[in-house]
Amino acid sequence: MQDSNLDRASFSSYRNHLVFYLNGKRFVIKDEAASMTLAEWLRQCQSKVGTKIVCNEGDCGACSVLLGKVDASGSKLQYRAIDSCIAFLFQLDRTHVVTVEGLSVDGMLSPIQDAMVQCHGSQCGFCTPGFVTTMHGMVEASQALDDASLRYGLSGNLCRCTGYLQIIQSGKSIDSSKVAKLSEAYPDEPMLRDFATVGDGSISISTATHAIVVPSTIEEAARFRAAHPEATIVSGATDYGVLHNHGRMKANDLLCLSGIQGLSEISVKDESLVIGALATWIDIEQVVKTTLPEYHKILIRFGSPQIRQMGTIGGNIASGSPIADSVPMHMVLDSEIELISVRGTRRVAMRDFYLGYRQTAMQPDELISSIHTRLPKSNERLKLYKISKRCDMDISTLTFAIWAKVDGGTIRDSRIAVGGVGPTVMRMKKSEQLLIGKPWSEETFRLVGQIARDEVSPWTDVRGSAAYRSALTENLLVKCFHDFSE
Amino acid sequence: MTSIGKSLPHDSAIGHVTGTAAYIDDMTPLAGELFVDFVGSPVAAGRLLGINAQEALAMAGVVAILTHRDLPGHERLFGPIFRDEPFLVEDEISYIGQPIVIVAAINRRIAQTALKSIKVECEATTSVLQIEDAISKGSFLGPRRKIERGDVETAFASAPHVIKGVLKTNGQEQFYFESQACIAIPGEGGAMRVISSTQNPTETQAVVAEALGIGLHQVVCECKRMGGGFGERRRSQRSRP
Repeated sequence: MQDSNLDRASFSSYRNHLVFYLNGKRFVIKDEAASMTLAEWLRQCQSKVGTKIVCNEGDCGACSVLLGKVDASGSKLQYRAIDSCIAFLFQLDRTHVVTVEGLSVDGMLSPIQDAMVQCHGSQCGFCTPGFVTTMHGMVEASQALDDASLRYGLSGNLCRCTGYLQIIQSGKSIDSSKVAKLSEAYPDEPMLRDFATVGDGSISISTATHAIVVPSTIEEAARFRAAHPEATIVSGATDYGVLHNHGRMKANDLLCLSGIQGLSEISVKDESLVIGALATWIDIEQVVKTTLPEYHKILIRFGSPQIRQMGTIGGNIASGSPIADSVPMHMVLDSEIELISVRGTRRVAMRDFYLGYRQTAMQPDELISSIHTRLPKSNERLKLYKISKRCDMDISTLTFAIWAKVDGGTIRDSRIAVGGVGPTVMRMKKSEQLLIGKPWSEETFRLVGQIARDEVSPWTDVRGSAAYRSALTENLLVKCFHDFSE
Repeated sequence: MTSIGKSLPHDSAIGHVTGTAAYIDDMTPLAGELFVDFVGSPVAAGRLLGINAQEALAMAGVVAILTHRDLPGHERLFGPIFRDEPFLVEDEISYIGQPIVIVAAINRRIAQTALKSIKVECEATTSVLQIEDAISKGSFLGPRRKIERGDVETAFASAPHVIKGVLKTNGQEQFYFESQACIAIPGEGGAMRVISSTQNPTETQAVVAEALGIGLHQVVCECKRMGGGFGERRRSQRSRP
């Protein structure tokens, strides 16, 4: 057995196992299984083969299961659909997983399952368990089962037989009030009591090749990070999971942040939006719906509901992808990133954060703790765009953000950020300068658009040619003028 | 005839919505079951020069490594209408991922580790990927065929109107949700029971018999259900996904 780099002595007081429930049954995991994906474990170790693996990268939703987490009040389990193919057991401590097998109690179909039967919602049937569990998740989240809501809620589930109309019809035929909540079949109380007994302390599990540490406080996380800067950091695992399944992650020590409490808060105070690094996209989406509707518009097309349930803002920003969907807005609103380490905290401006392709200004001992953004004032305008081949659940070909301060028909200040046209999301300094002092007119934006297309140096890949991306950059400047005027 | 005029639920609907409808990979593994995968060609066109599987052969848990030389049947080629495709590459390579070496191991993880260690030496030649290139190079699949009736030339020459055009489509092969999968269970006297997610059990039966050099009566192919097919599973499957 190869010994891990983990300094066991200093983390030996940590709990050495995970505790979670599957369809009401308790499991304790203290070995290699901790680093399996939930979908693999369900299928290979528990014979729960109703959960299907298709894309194995969180794109199709066939592996959707319900993850019950203790809610903020601590008094109940809150169930939401997630993609089990890119969720790992090490993220599941003190949760309850419900699979499609756990939805029909005593052999009786749930009203959702029955509707899918009666309305011909299944054809080949391979995607069906995923759709059924996701719809249960919608009911758990008190989402209406109307046309618009179903199209949003099911945007993370693909049906290759294209039976969407029948699936939506199934959803619309359901009387949500008749759908039993999961807490009826699986009472919260005994599980919550068990979780309290287990305790919310940090966890450390050793496998043959590596260690997995799940700290419960940011201080513990920073301490581990300082001692093991080479460890891979994981929070929602929506990026890690894809790389892992493609065999592109070596068996490294893992620092999993999902157990840290108090780092997922989102607050709007004094015209400022503060988002904890572990806030999930689904929660951010709710908060910004009214305070920053432009951001909301982008976020509902970011991954799928299942991905947004797990993915965190800290992960998206730290991964440093040039097409990270959240970055352009934070770039033009001049957000600041708060970093924490055993040495203390510091703030880095978003514009200084990215040094190169997937390279950031984070030191090897630092972690992101929060993102601070000043909300636009009434004379400040903001537009965001995401261009992708598909509307929902697609990787961006190009992302674009523009912020402008306008007084009396003249542009006083501006910031433009474009993603997908270089190694990082880039600020368009030349174009920004050109806008300043100019009248707010189509002519101005047409002129600056022509300059902007030469300011980017995009590449050609499967999502679009360099020429297409240059043209998009120019056209979006003109488009934003018209969209602003609406 | 109680079903006439009624929209009845799918036969497997209850199995689908409860997750109990079993597809190939959902079936309980048999004792001693091996996981089989293959090494595909790294090039789209070329020649196979050599295979080095020494490292894989020495791995614990690797049970068999097979190439075209190990095929017991006398048939080397197969195909739904024209037999023009080798079961396993012998010499010429005609598409990327074309199966070359088969690995059988006690589990999926070992099979995949073994695959990665196998070195396939190929000489890459220029691939012909566009129809125009294929026509100019005379690179056709099988002989050229025409569908004609009567005196075509005269008919065109005397036609009041001749309409010419070129149609280009960006057609792609479709995909389906359940990956291609199959369980092969050896039986008595060399017989083989094949459980496959195929739309063409009859052809699968024939191809398996030919590859193994056994009689059709010794092969049974079953397909209970598929996770989609759309015609793409109508012919024998041997490539991913």
